[in-house]
Amino acid sequence: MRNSLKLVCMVFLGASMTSVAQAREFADIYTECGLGALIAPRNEAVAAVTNVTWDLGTTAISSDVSSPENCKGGQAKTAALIFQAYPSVETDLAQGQGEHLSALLNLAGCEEALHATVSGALRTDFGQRLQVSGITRYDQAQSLYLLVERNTEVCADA
Amino acid sequence: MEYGRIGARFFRPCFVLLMLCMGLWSQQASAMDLARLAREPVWLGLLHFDTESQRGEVTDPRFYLAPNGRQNPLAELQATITALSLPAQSDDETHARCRFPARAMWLDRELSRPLPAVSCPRLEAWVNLAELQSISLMLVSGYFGNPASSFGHSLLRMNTRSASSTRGLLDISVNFGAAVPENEPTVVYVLRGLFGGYVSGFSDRYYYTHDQVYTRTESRDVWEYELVLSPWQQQMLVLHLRELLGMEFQYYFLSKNCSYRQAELLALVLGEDFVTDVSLWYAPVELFQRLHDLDRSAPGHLVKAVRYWPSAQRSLHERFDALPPDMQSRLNQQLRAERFDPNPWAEASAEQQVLALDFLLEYVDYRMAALEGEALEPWQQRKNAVLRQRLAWPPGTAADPPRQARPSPAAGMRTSRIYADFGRSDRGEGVAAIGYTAFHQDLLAQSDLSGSGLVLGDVQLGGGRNGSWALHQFDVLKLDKLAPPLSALAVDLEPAWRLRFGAQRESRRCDECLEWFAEGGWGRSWEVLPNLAFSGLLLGRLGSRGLAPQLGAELNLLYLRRGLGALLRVSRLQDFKFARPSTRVAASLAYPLSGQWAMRLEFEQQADASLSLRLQRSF
Repeated sequence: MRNSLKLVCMVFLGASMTSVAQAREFADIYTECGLGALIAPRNEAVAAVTNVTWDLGTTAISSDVSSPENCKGGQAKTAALIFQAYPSVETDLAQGQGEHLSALLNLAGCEEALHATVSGALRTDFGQRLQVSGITRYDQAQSLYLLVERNTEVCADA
Repeated sequence: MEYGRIGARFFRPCFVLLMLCMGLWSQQASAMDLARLAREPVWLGLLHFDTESQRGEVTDPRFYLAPNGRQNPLAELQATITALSLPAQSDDETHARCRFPARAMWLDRELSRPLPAVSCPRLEAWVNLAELQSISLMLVSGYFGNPASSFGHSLLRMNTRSASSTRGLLDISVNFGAAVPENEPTVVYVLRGLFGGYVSGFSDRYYYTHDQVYTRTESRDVWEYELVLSPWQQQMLVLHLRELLGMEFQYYFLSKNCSYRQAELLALVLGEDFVTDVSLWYAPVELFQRLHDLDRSAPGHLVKAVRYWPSAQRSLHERFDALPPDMQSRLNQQLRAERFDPNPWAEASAEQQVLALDFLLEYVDYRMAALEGEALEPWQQRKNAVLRQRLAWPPGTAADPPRQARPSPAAGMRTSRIYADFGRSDRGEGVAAIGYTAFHQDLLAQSDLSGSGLVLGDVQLGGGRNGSWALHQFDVLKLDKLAPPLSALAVDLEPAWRLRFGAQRESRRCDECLEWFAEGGWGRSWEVLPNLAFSGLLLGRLGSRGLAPQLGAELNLLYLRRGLGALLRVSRLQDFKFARPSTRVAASLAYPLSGQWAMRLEFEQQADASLSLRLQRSF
């Protein structure tokens, strides 16, 4: 009984630590790779000339030219897609298909043959997470990022 | 033996002399070759060298290897060859071959001697040339949400082979724009934008970031021009983009803007003229018109395909149009009431529920795209309700409704025009006028009832009372947005509006009656019959003669079909200062002739009436 309790505690502690480590990872990506900066301020007049998306000197995650070394990996790219295109990813997940979901799974390193299986599992987890309401875009992205990390482990093993 | 020694004594100096001469000749020939290479259009293009100002347009000193490289293409060429000839340690990203891969690629071909190979892992990681399938130039439609964005936008995308399931969302796209500080005052922004006050440059992004901004947030249509380039041209373009990333240019909103810089890139790899004669402005559509022109001689040799990608708004309305009428009616009721939870579709068939929920998700996304901050929260709650309902059903959506491809704006009339009017007035007098329009997208020359028209700088000289010519009309800006709703969806009704600012003679018989004015209208538009839109606007006007504000109403009937466009406009304004109402009736019938020629029948009645025929040529 004591051993069982110890095992449960260890599993719980391990799971919590993993979660904290991954959450920090998303937070690191968010700050170090300038994800927030990528959402340009909505100044209509300025947007008209700059076409919103250009930010000379600001870090950007989309390529190794303009992003720091530690923002070039698949994790950072996955985090960026989730954060920047969150509404589209969320809708695709609910529908179980779509261009943004395919892009997400590709970035997470999943072969196309595994997309249906992974997105099915992701969809189930995502449905449970939706019970939580009133969270920010950052929290939403972080939460989905953790789900993607967990559900795409199978892709690395394949 | 003796002969041999004599021969050696005689021939050795001759041989040395010969070698010296050859060396001198070779050096001279090499110098001549370099001078020739430095004048090559490709080299000047790689340096973005402006032959008028005699200096490179890249203002960033990191772009030049020679101290005077910006002003002297030959010095820059020599410095580049020297730098490329240096041995490199493994993975030396600072080596000239990694910093200037396009220059290296061109010089590899042009020079007779090989330059050392260098490994550039960061370049290889940026773009996998083996995966690169083609390059597309994207034309983003004008954005009437802000008049300054009405000209549209253009950007490049590198299409990879593995992008079929993601519509290129993960392909790298390259944009050119200005770096504008946050919270820049509008006046400062306009002035700096017009007169070169901003630093600008190329930047790279995954295409999904542009898709988010243009297609979803701003709901703009996109036309993708997939280019036909040889492997050499394609590689050259990609490598040159790489060496330009982060380099600084000076930005001019009207002329040296995104499309101008992309036109320069196409000129570099295609060897065709794209930017000569650019004086005051270069609108994005002009770059694409040039592509159409070049491709016309052998269709498909330059543009493989033109694909239309509708805005989020158009996609939403197309999906709504494809639903059965009873579902449309129920959805309209639901959306008017903003009732998302509990699910009003719970009693419907499984197929109808999934159809309705998928439409609602698209609708909520469309509404949320324009919101930010606290305004998002209630909509996220609504979306969560729909998501929960949708997640209860198996994955998979109904096929997208058939897409109605809209022709590219570049396939239509050119943006500048000259015209001549001939006719008669109600008093039997001849009417004659000539005019020039700097930029126009004709309200009556659209492919569908988009109801959008934009005119900038329209000057019309008319025959005066004494036979002399006088300014009859000058439109600084004329904007019309008279589009009817895109579908029967009852909750996405955009206003009809128009804005006009300029000067006009009150009567053709009065040479001194030129009045400056500003007028604007705001109202609604409906599609009363197929291809026929009716709009009603509240109208306001302020004129310089007496500075009397006028208020009134305006009715418009707009018909567009297969190139034929007709507009009937009746407006009545009340002058509050002099209590004098005025009614104006105008009718136009436009028909395209061949090529860039078009004719127009115009009727106008205000102080006097006139009927005239206009012949116009766009260019």
